[in-house]
Amino acid sequence: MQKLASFFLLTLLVLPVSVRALSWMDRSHSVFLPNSLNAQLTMQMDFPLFWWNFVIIEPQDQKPAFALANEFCQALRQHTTGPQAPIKKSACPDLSPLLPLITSWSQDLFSREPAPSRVQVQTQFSLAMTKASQPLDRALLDIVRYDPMNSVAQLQSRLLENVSFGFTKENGFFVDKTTKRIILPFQMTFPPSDTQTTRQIVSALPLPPTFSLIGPHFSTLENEDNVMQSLDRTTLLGVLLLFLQIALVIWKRRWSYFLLIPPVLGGMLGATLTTVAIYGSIHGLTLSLGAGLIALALDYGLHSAHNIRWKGVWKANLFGLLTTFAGLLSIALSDIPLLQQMMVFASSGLALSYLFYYLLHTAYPQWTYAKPFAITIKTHKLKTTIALALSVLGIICAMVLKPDLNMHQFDAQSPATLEKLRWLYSHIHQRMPLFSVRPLSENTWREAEQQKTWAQQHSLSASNFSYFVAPPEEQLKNLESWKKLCPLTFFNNTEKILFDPFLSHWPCENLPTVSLQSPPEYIKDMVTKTHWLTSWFPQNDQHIKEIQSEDPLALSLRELIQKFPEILQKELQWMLPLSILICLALLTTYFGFRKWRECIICLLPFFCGGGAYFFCVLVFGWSFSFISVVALIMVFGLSLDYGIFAANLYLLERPPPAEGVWSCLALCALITILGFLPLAVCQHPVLRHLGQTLVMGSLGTWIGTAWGIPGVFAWLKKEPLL
Amino acid sequence: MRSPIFLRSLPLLFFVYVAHSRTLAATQVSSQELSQLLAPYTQIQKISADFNQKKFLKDLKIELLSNGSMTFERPQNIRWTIHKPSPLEVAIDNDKISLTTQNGDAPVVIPFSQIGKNQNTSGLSLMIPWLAGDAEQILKSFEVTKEGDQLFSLVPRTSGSLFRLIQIKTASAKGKNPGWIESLTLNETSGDAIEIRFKAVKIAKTR
Repeated sequence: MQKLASFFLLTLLVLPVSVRALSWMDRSHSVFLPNSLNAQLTMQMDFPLFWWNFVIIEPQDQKPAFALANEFCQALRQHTTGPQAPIKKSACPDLSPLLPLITSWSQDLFSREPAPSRVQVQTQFSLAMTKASQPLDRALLDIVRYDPMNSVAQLQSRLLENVSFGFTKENGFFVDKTTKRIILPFQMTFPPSDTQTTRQIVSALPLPPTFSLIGPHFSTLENEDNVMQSLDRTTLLGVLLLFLQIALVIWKRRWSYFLLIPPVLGGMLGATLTTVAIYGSIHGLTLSLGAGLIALALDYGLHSAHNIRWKGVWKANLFGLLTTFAGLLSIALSDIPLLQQMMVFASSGLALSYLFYYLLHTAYPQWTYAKPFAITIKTHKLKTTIALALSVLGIICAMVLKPDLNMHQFDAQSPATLEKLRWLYSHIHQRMPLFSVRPLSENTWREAEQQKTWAQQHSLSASNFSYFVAPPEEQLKNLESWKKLCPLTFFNNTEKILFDPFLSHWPCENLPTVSLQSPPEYIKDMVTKTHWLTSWFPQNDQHIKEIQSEDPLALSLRELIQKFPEILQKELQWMLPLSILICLALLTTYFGFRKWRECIICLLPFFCGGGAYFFCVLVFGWSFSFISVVALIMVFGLSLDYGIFAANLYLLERPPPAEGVWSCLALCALITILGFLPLAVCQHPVLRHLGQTLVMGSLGTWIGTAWGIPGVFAWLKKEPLL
Repeated sequence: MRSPIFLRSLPLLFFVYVAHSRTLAATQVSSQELSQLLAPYTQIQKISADFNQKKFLKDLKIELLSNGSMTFERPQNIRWTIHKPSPLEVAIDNDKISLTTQNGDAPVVIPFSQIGKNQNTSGLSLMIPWLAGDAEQILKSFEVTKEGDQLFSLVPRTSGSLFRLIQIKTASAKGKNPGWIESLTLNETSGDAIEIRFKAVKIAKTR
């Protein structure tokens, strides 16, 4: 038996370590959002327009740290060259990264605008020649060479038309006058979900000591790091607590308890395989949290081990399992992928563990038997009153308290980062823009033009590709007009050499039009291979109404994210009542329809568990989030096991031995609390909320079971309480 | 027949001699010397001159020619007017630079504080401290060496400057406007170079 114990110990030690290295383990945090919402968000995040980030450089000696900013820009420049460069452009004083943008804009002048007169062209070229003859750095000279018609001024005004930055420009950098911070925007060439590349950039940039990197890429990275950090901490603490329990078992020489572990491990393994088979991968959180749920199967093992000679033990276990399923099933119907996956994992794991326990305990009862502890539960007025008071508190709070459904509470970025984000957004003097995304189709040009015309007619600011590209038929007309100026004999040799990068695109032979299938650099922010984006810039609520009536898809990112709680609110309205109804149906089946009132007493541990958690919410200010609600539903599932096992003592004609039941329930509560304790100290809000609710819910469940149920049954039987 | 080794080495010796003599001839200019040299400028209220400018683009192997006139007025007002190839006026005063074309566009005015380090080192902004006789300002930004009676070399003290070397040739002491900048050569780090030659200089001194 000791050898067997060593083997399990080793398995437990190796499992969390090996799991981290597996390729089928998903670590993304997109699982927190419903698929429909994720798709919309992902679609928006695919547009490079959302790939801008900022470095905020703190002042040195109360002056803007221009030297550090220049150093940062030099490092940034090394990542902006080459086709695989991770950084596209930046607001550094160096203009060279903007050259591809300016070049493509200048080259498309021929299709964008009708040709001016030959004299006007010559005048512009003459002015460009004058500029080129002045002292210019290479980037500025290149801009003059590529854009002798100075169309870049037009591009600049169109791009900056809707941007309102509350910073002044000093030494070529954006500076906040009050704090003397330097704000340096830079755009990535990859989406925020590619956290591996973001991590490489962070490690490669010689960042100043007093900097902050903020924006979608760094938010995603920080959130992911926090999830991983939380997972690591949870795993470590979980393993430590497990060792503590094992040490206790060894100390008390209760070797048969080690046989409680294989069925749970088998259940976890089977559940992992089932989940991977269904979803293709398994999320780290599913593995971490779901394992805790599967471990609830220990209830059945302990119940059987301590009551092995009682014939009704497996029937009671079965109904305990079914009521747990009822709780899990309603969560599995949620739209949130993580919850769905976790419930599939937990349900399959629980079912398999139950099966393994049944086979083991019925085949080898002499090995699996565990002598009950000398625990006796006496009814006590004060204890019963506390249990009932907590239950009442639970019921009242469940009806009165509204969960905080704001998604921002799950943003696991550090307070310092969040403070910088708030500070930055407070300097962007505009209302939240609205965005709409549509698939590219044959009607795209017409739709985009219609939006532009409508916005102009209603004096509203908007932007889509049609603000930068003429419609195809107009492009052809424009190209023809430039062609009429050919051959280009009116340029002298010096002009021909100097402005060759521009003149080589003059449409004397070919008439190249701009296509959305291969969008030019200047519209790549708003056109992908499959979709196109419109940005609306409302100034007031009336504008928002007008815009949304014209473009129903137009939503701000904040609105899009806030849609999630709306979906959840709807789900919550049926989740808990459905679970309660299914469980009551199962309980009446188990105890008999005539005892339906007594069946309700089985719910007492759950109400008491809820009450214990709400007590902490009210007294210690714990968060009551949607994750807490989900956790309460999980408490509901486990609390019914306790309710059934305890009620058996008072409702069955041939009840199990009381010592066996209370030994089982005391151990179950202890193991559950210790199992979820690591989550309660997690940094990540989602895990912390889950852990806090489960720990307090389990403690309350034990109070409701041990202090509440005996007292209530005594009161029903009119027995005196101490 | 192989030439004697002395003859084959002659070009090399010549090069070494020239380089050595240049090193010997170039002497670093101290703050006091530069202040003395620029002393006449402190008495000037206004200078105007015409110029011919030649920019050599190394990679393209072409020369861009331009001409125009310039005016400097105390304390820090300089107007650089290009007549050809196309009219363009660049004006610098205390804290801003403005560019005006004759194509009807409004002048572009940019405060110096907004211009990045590399764009703030134009030949014009360099000329202001020279014309104002501000030796300290020049020595703060450049290492100045005298390479002959009338030729001065200015090497930027900081890296990342647009210019690698600036050479100023002053008018002969026997001429009409002794000490006045006769020509200015701006050697850019890219290898491009600009040569500006001044003529028809008119000087109005302070009373």
